[in-house]
Amino acid sequence: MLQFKLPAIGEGVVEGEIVQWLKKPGDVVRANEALVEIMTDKATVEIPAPQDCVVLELKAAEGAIAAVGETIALLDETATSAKPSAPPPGSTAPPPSSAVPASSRATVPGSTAAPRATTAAGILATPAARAHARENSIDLGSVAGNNGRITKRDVVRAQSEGSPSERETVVVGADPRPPTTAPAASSIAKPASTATGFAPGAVPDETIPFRGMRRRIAEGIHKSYSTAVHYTYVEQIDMSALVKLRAQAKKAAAEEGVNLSYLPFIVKAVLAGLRRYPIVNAVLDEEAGHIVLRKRYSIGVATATPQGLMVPVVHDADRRSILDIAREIARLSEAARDGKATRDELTGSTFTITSLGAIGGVLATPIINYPEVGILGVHAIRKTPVVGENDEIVVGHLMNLSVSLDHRVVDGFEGASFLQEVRRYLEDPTLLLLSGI
Amino acid sequence: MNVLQHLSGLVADLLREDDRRIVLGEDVIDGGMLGLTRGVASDEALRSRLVATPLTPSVIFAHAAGLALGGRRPLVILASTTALFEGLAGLREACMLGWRTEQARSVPMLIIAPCGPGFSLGGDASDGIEGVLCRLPGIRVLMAGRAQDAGAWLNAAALQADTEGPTVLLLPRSLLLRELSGPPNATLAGSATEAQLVRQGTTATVFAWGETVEIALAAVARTGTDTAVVDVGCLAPLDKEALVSHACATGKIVIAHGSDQAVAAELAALFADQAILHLDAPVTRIGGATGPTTPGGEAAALPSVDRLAEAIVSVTEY
Repeated sequence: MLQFKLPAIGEGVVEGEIVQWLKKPGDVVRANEALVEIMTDKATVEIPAPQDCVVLELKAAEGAIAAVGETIALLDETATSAKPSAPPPGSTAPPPSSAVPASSRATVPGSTAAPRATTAAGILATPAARAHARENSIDLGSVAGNNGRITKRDVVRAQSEGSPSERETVVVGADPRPPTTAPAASSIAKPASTATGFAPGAVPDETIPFRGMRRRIAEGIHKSYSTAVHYTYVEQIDMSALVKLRAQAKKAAAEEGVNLSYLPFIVKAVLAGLRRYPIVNAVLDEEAGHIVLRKRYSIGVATATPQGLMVPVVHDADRRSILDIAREIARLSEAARDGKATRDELTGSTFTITSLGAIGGVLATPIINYPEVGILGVHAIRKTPVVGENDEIVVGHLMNLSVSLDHRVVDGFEGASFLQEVRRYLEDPTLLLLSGI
Repeated sequence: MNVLQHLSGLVADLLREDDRRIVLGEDVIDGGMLGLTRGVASDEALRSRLVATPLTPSVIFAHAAGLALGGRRPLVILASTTALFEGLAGLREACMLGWRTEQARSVPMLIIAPCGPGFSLGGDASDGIEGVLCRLPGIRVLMAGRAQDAGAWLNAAALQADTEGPTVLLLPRSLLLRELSGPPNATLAGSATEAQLVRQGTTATVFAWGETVEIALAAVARTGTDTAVVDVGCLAPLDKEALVSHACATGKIVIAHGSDQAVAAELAALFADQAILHLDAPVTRIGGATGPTTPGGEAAALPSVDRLAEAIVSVTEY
C-alpha cells in the first residue's frame, strides 16, 4: 500500500485545498494520470499519480486543506485492475451497491459487508458523531471511520489529532435521487415532479459548495475589507485626446498583431502617478511596524474568469512599452481564463487596476487587493456634450476613475493628488511621450 | 438468611409500624405460599391483621380497595403474577378511584407478587406482566432489583402506596431464595421512583430492572468494559429525565429485560425521541424468551450473561 502525500507544489507553498478528486476508491489510475485537483494560494494544479495503482481510500475530503507532506490518499500499487464492481457497459444489471441510498444501509447495523464510512451516497455516521462534529465544526468527510461508519469516538479522535479540516462540507442530501427510483432503462432524466402545472415550493434551492476559488476570493476580500480602511475618490477624465491617439496607435499596433485597448495607456498613467506618489505603491506591514514603499512596479489586472475573479500581474510594468503591456495583459488574461496561469503570474502585484470595460458604469467602490494600499476602478468612456475652449458645446469622451485607498497609509490629500496625476497624463497623452514610455 | 426470610421480618415490621396496615391473600394466616407472612403469623399481636381470602383476585382487589377507602392500609400478597392477569379489571378500578373522587379519596394499597422464573414452575410462571400493568392509569409498578435491595424495595413500595395510591411490587423469584451476603440495604439510594445508577461507567449503559440488574452487573464484569448499569426499578411512571440523562452520558445503550418486551420498547422509543443526538450505536434490546417455558427451561425467560456481554461489547466497539 502506498501513502499518497501532498507533494510540494511550489516555492513557499505549505498547504493546498482539495478542490476535486478526479478518481474515487476502486478506480485504476495510470502513472502520471491526474488524480486530484489542488488549489494553492491562487493557482489550481492537477497532481498526477506517481505510478500505476488502484485508489484504496481518499483520506482528505473535497474542500479540506491538506498540508504538504500529509497523506491524502491510500493507493495500492500492487493491483492494477479494478475490482469488478461495475456492471459491463450496456448491462441491465441493478446499479452497483454504491447507488443504494445511505439510509437503507444504515438500517443494517453490524452488517459484515458494511461499506466504507464515505460512500457515493454520503457519510455513514451515528447521530452522536454527527452532533459532535456539528458542534465542533468538524468535517465528517475528513474523519476516518471504523467498521464502515463513523461513531463519536472517531470524531473525538480526529478532533484531538487535529483534523486537517475546520469546516463542514455539504454532505446532507449528497444523493438527490429519490430512493425508490428503479434502475432506469433509458438515461433520460425524469422531471423532478410528475405533477402537471405549477407546484409551489416543489423546486428545491440550489446549493453551491463554498470552497475552492470562491472561498479563496471570499477570504481575500474579507481580509482586505476588514483590515484596510477603505475610502473611494472618483474623478471624471476627459479622454478625448487619448481617444484620438489610441485610434491612430491601434492601427500601428494591429500591424504588430496587438489589439490595443485603453488599458495599457491607463497602466502607464498609473505608473506616472505611483512614481510621483510612492506611498500609493506601498504595503503596510503592521507586525513589523513599518510601511514598505515598493520599488518594483507590478500592476495587477483584475480579470473575470469562469472560476471567479483572478488578478494576473504585469510584472515590472514600468520597464515595458505600451505594446508590451498590451501583449502581456492579453496573454495573462487568456492564461487566467484557461486556468493555466502560474502562481508567479498571479502574485506579487504592487497596485491593482480593475477595468469594468464595456459594462463600465459610473462609479464603484473597488476593494483593495490586500496587502496593497490602492486599487483603481476604470469605467466606461462615454460620448458626452462638454463645453469647449470657446464656450461652444462639443462632443467629449468622458470617463470616470474610482480609486480606493487604505486610509491607514494614504491620506485623502495624497490619494486625490495621485488620481489627479493619473488624470493629467490621460488628458494630455503627450506627457506620456515626454516621460519616455 | 435468605431474601424471603428477610422480607417476612420486614412485613411484620411494617404492621408494627402502622396499625392501619392489614394483610390480605390466600393462606396468609399460615404464612402464605411464599412464607412472607410467617413473621406476622408468629406474632400474636399482629396475627389478627391477617385476612385469608380465596384465590379470586378481583374480589381481593375490591376488598382491599374498600379497606383502603375506609382508612386501612391493605397489603395484598399474591402467589403469582398470574393472579394479576386474573384480577386486572378489579385492579384497574382500584387505580381509578382517586380519579373518580377527584383525588378526594386515596387508595393506599400495596400488592406484592413474585414474578418470572426461579421456582422451576415452568408454564406461565415466567410470563412477564410488567408491560400490561404499566398501561393501567394511575398505577405504580416497581420491580426489585439486586437481592441486597429487596427489603429496601419493600419499604419503599409501602411508602409509595401510602402516599401515591395503588402500587404493585414485583419480586423476581430468582432473587427470593437467594442467601443474603452481608447486611441487606434498608433503604434505596434514592426514592423508589428514581432510576438508580448501580454501576458507574463511561463507555456504554445497560438499563435493567428486576433480575436482569444482577445479570447486567455480571455481564459488565465479564466484558471488562467501563459500562454503567442503571436499575430502572420504577417501571410506571418512568423516571424519564434521569433515564434520558443516563442514556446521553454514553450514547451506547443496551436494554436488558425478561420475557416482557413492552417496557424495553418504551425505553428504546424514549431514547430515540429524547436522546437522539447522543446515540452512538443501535439501541440494543436483549431479552428472555416469551413463555410459556418448560419447568426445566425456565432460564430461557431471562437473557444470559453471555448474550448480554456480547451485546455490551458490540455497542462499545460499534
